[in-house]
Amino acid sequence: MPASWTQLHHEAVEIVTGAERDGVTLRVVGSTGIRLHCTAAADAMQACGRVAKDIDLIVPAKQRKGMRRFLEARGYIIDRDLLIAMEGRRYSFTNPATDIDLDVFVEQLEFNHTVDVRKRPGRHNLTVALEDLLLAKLQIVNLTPTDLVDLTVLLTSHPVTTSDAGEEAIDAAYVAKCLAADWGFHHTAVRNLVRLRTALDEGDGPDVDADGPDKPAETVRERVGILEKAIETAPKSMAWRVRGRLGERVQWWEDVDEREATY
Amino acid sequence: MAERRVDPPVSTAAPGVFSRQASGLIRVGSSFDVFIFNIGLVSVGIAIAFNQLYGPSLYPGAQPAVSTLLAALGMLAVATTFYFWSVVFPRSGGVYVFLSRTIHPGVAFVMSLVETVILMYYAALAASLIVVVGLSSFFSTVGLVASNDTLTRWGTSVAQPDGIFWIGTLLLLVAGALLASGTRRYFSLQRILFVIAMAGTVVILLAMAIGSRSTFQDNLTSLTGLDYNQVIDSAKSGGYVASDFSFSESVKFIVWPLLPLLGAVQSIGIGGEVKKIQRSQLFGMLGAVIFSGLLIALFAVLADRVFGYDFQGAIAYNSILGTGDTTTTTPYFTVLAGILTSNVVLAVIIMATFVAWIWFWIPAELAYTTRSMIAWSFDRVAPDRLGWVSERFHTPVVAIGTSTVGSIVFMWLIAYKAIAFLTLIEVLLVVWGAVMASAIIFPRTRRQFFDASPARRVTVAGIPLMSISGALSVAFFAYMIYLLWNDPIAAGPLINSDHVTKEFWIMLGVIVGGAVWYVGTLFYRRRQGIDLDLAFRQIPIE
Repeated sequence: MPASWTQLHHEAVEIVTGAERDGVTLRVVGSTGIRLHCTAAADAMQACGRVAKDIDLIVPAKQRKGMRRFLEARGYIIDRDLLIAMEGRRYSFTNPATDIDLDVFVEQLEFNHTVDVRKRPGRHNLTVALEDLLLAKLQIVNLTPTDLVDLTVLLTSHPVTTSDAGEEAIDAAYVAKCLAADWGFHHTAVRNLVRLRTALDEGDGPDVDADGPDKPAETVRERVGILEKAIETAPKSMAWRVRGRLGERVQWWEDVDEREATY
Repeated sequence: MAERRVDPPVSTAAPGVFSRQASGLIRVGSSFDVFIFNIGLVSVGIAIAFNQLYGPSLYPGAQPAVSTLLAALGMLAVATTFYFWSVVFPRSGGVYVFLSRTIHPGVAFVMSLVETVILMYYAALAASLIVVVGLSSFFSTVGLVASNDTLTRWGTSVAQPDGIFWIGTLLLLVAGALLASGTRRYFSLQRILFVIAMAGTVVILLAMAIGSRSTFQDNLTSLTGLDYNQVIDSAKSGGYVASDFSFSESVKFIVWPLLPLLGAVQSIGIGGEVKKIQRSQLFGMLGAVIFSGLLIALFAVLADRVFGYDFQGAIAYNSILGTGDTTTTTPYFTVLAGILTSNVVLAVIIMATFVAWIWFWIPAELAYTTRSMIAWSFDRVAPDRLGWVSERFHTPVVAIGTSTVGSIVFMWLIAYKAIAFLTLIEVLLVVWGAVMASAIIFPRTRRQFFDASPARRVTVAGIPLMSISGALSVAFFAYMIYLLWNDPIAAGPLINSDHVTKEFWIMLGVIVGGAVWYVGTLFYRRRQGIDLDLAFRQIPIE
């Protein structure tokens, strides 16, 4: 039986705070990270079918050894296959007692596009920075309804600002700067923002009323607009412009394979 | 005309099902990496060097270009069969994975152990060839062209046993260290080296295309003091028989280009680490066979045009038999090409290119054997420790170290005991032949796996192509074993009424030792409550 959201929430907090005491800095990413950052939305996410499955964490490269010691001491068993296959870039653990699965990423999330979370360490005491939670969703080429739920929750419950306004606001300038260095990531992110806006316009958007304002759809549309404007106006790198000339004729994302055993 | 564009994947999730493979993986190897891995294991440099040295000299009338293309044709069937295996079981571990899931884990372990020992030998052989074909020829040729006696002396001295062992061992250690530093770094370095090797190859091809025989004859005399016609005459006096093209000799000579071309399918060993396995393995294996086959054949044609078939045969014949006029070092293709250019820079490019081509073989063979060991460890056939991952390097250093040390042992045997275990190819063909044979019956005997794989979609007249290519491969390997068995130059019989070879005893020892190990492990694991036979049913052992 998969762990409940309450169990995952509790375990994620225990892991991050417990690891901190052992000198290991872990931060939660992914959907669980979004729930931890937007606690009021968690029940709404559960209600609309967004079931929590596992906990994704980020660890600095230099603390991998300590992370492994800490998690194994908590009863987690490491996935040997992934340990060999990923060569220290990612780990996977499972706890047979609680049935909770952990994925631990080292400094960056490598999927369709890479999100480097090293740039904004320590913005939040449990999760990675809001901007990184957002980028982790915007990098997905094949966005699913659950990802739209996550994006909506993030943008409903947090204001988008044009400059750094603290850990509870999404800094559009930072997001735009990240995307201005990588045409492929930029292209995917812009497509996803358009998809989110379209879903809201067509009334297909996720019905998630988080702890945000009274008209969540309108709010999300407005915040998407701020993001799009910042992304569009940010100065682009030379590499971005050169890659942009090739456009969609060349694949612009990394393929993500099914997670099957390597050996 | 519509603009070409790449479309992103579309979710195939049923409505209402919020599914995307959670936390999927970005695998390390791209199609291009797989292609380079296989091309590297072909080692175009070794193929050309052996082809041009042994073909015209010891198989008079054999045309290496024809032999290479015939060998490539046979290897296409083998590559097709291995391709199907790798899409049915997209795992790392090579033949062990296929055989353990289709025949029996014990048989699979013993055969995989035999294969591992043979491939460790070939890693050492490649390291020795870098010294003999690469460095020795490099110093000799550059010394000749630059009129530098010191370099010429080095050319002779590095090919002595001490030079072969210590330089070869250093190369094996560097290859092991490269693998221990991570697969990403390994693939990155191989990509760079491949570009360098290909650029060098293009330079050599241009030099060969532009060069003429009269230029070569003039340069040969001015640089070495040898007379082109005198070399041929002295060989004939020593028993060399010049001959016109002979198809039957070309067929006999297939076993030589076969040796390097066998490498073109070894990405089966890293199947679990490549992206888009169907595309990568198809392009990587069949592409490597076709590309390398054509490239090696092209070199043979150009070598005949510029150096002359009889001259290549004569100068190599004189060198191998120690009679008649020849160069101070073995007249490999590299030496002759260096003489043709008579230019220090071009000579350096030629030699460096060949060294790069041969180098590819070493880490790739070690990588393959390492994967087999890890697969054994995961299936609990070998100690867990073999799959241990260093917390410093994040790689399976015990398996890598074991492969490297095993190869160094063979390096010692090659350098000081002058062993040439080409007979081991016969055993390797038996092991791979078993995989080919099981491909014939696999679609029927393990139908649930076959039907669940993309291999089921490819049929000819209702018969799975996997079975057809498997049957063709068995026939091809059987004929190759026959040729090797009856060819004392290339290999000869493993055993006959008069003689039992060292290779036979080594292989017998490995087979018996492997079988005893497996049976012992089987009982030991049973006492631990672990059933090793679960691998046969494709069930995780843990």
